[in-house]
Amino acid sequence: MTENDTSASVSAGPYYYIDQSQCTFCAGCSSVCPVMAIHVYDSSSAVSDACVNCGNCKIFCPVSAIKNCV
Amino acid sequence: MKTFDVVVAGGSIAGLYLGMKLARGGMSVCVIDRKRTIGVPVRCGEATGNLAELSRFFEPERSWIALEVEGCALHINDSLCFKKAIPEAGVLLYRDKLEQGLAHRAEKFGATIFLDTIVTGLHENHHGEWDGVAIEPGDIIKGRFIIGADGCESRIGQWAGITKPLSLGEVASTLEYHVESDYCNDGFLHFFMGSSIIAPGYLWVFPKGENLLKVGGGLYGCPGNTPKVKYFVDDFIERRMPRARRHSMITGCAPVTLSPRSLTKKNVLVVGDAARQLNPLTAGGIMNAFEAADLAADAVLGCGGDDRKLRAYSRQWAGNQRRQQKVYRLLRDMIVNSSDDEIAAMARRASRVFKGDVDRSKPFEVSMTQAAILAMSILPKALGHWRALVG
Repeated sequence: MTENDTSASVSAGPYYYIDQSQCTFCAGCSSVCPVMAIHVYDSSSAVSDACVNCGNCKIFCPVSAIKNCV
Repeated sequence: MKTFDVVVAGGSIAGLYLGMKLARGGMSVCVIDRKRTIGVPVRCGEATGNLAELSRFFEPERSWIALEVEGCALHINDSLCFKKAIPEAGVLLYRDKLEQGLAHRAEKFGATIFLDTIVTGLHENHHGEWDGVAIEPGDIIKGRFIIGADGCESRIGQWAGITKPLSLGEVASTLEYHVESDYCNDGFLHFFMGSSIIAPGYLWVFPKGENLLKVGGGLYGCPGNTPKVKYFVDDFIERRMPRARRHSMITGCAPVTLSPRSLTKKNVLVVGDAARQLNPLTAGGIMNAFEAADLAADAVLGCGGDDRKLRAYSRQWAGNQRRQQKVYRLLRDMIVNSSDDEIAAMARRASRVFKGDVDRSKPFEVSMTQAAILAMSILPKALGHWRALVG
């Protein structure tokens, strides 16, 4: 794989989505996101394109609301 | 565009207390929060210090207090390790009512509160100085000083370069249910530890008045290969209180690490969870937040517009509370690395030292012999962990 291929895959995010029916909007995922890619509001949450696929949010989420984008 | 002396991002405990104190001190201040209602939802264990300790900061109202705690109990797996009545041990709050009460007082002193408002960044003027915050959609709220009291996400702190994102090892992942049950419902704070209950971390059963209980758990760190905190709390409730009715569930993230050495940069300060000012052992942060907000407010009120004088806040925090954080972090590391039997032995030794009822209105009276026995029993282990941390 060339360097260009790698950068292309890094910018292809977000790699995760947040299941709104399970999310409790505690913002823990956002606190462990190294690139501030997760925005949690009063009653909604979303992963932005800044996501770098580290997986911290998915590991953290106490209710397993964060899923991989297919 | 609106202009204030101080812009506080985050309308929870630290933010609202700062709003109240700064407004009372004669400054124009606004508190911004993304929530639609102050204090809701509650994401907190709600146990904190006693009424005298709270009164150091403000006069608490009776309606903010669910009940006064009778004492504490520690269970290791299936056995009760100790149970001790402690007069004035602390209180269980209605945190939503406390925050709404603080907001009301802040507004009475002249503070402005903006709800349902999302801060998107620090705003820079033409000289490259931070002169306020940008909010959605495309507006600015200007302020001479900017305070980040925006919880463990700590966006303001990260934008200013004061704090970093938390690593998985620096957080406790927490979850709590409100349940109706008689289990351990005796006015005591019950803590449960041990590998058959939750590890590494602890589980709590707190009374909330009548037959309501708060049953929750916190896992130190978030290793990817162990079950999540929900598994441990669900399992505990199913085994110990199978007929309990669950009313609601909350989750949260508590930084269990040290606060940064510097809590300010130019005219920006961070306070509370945003500044990681929690107890790294218990993940408790209510009294710490008041303590820190009090120091921060004094620094802002006393700096006379000179940003460099704000550093007094970092120095004062580091001189006392940050040192305490180090001790609690050491204790936590010891507990995480100890077997159930070792934790039980340590707890029993400690409970023997504090024989009888503990009176919190007076200093602890510990005889030299007892203190020496306790120190000798935990010192070698403490030194070992200290070396591991330093080395």
